Amino acid sequence: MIFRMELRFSWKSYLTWIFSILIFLGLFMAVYPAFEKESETFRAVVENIPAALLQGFGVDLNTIFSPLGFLSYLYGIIQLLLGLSGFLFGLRLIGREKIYRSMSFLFAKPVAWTKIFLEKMAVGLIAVLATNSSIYLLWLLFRQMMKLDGAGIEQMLATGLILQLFMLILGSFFAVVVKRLENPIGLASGVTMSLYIIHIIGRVTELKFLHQFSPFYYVDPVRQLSEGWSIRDNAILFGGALLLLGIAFVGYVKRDKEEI
Amino acid sequence: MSVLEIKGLKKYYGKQRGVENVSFSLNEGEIFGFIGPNGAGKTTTLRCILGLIFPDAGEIKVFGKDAIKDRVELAKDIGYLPGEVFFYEKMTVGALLDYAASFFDQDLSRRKKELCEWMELDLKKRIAELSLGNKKKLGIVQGLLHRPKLLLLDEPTSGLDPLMQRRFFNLLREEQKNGVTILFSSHILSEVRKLSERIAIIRTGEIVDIKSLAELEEQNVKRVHLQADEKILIGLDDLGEIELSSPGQRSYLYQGDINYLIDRLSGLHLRNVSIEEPDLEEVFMHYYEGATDDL
Repeated sequence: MIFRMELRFSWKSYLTWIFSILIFLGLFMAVYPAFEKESETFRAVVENIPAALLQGFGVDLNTIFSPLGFLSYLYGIIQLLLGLSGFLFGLRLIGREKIYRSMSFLFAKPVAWTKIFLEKMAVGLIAVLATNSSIYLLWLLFRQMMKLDGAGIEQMLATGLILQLFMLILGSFFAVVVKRLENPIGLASGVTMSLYIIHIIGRVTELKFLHQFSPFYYVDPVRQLSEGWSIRDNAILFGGALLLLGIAFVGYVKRDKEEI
Repeated sequence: MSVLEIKGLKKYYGKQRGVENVSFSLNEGEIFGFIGPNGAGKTTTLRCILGLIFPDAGEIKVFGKDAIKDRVELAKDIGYLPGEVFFYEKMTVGALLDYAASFFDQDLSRRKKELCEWMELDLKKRIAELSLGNKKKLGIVQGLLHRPKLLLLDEPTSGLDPLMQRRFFNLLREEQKNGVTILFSSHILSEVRKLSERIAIIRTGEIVDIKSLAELEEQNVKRVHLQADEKILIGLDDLGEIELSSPGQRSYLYQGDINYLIDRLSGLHLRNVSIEEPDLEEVFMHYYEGATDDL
């Protein structure tokens, strides 16, 4: 019942996110043929932009005019949206009773808190799978329509899945540790943007160690394009997600259910 | 048989005291008042009984089972109305009650309808549109929906109009007749008096006293405010502890037989008189000042 109720609470939000991401991706992919055709003009424009700025935004002049290069740049922005949505999904799912201050309602019912947590996370997992499957289907459509070479794309898209999953769990972790959840969108935007900016700072400055603190680094599509897909990076992110999930679960089950 | 037995309950929130060494028990079918000022530890005690917060020490047995370890099983037989009622604002009343009912293996649709009729709740209304009083009514309905054997009510009447309060008290008496045990917390002494057979008084996290209603009646305390000529008032200064004294008016905390008070006042030419319930703190001070002095 909790599973069904959570889906009922959230399906509109999930669909809104999925369609927004698909529209964003679709619009940009639709202009790719024109972009490719006018590549020399674009190159002249882009070459006037400072190198550090281009680096910060993940623009690699050697690859951006290829389908994969263009998509990897675009996918960097999609990842930001995936991260934000994933965090928000987790925060709202696990923190719903804090947001509505309705802990006394749900947690006093004859249902194990473990079950509540697992059913809520299952809804989050479905939202993540639905989002990434939709992106993949749209990609397949574009590949078919534009006769694009898709080598390496699947791996890139898979990183989006791992990233969104990580952010879903990070959101649920925050939902457990933060006492008051009055502004979920503000918190989600703040945390996600901070992590993204940390990644950009690590990318353009000498403070490379900062990368390690941002999940966006481990799934950076531009870096993947130049250095290749890294099992290690994805494993680190996945391991981090599992660790956070464990902490969030224990916190959820063991902490007092205080109405604040 | 004790439906609820609490021994040496202790709960701190960091360094802040919640409750300390709270012990009491409830007999089957009784209405037990739990009274104390705000922040005294009433809600903490109720939430410990529900297993929502984990005690630092002590033991809570409900129907002979451990409140923490057997929380899920016990929750089937416990109804809870929190002091401040909050629900999922976007849901309708009917949807919320269906959700609440889904946690129990019984068909509660008829019960839902009956209770909503009793409480005059519109099932189709969105919770966000409900007034505070109606949210409270919804809280009452969802707490009673599954026919619990033990009802934990935290400040249940706050937000209810007098008519609805009376109706609610009648409902509780009906439940009691059906064998339901009720623990009823409040900071309004008169309210608890109307309903409870025994009363526990809690202050600064500790149980100060547990009294039967008869014992409490013996210690009947009223605030008496009189306006009259000073000559008359001087003659009444032995009535009780004087709270306010100014020419032409007095406020006393009177304790004792109310008939004696009426006899003393009858025949006097008073300009004004009011007899009201004192603040809980005043009652506590009145009750326990002497005891503290003795110590």
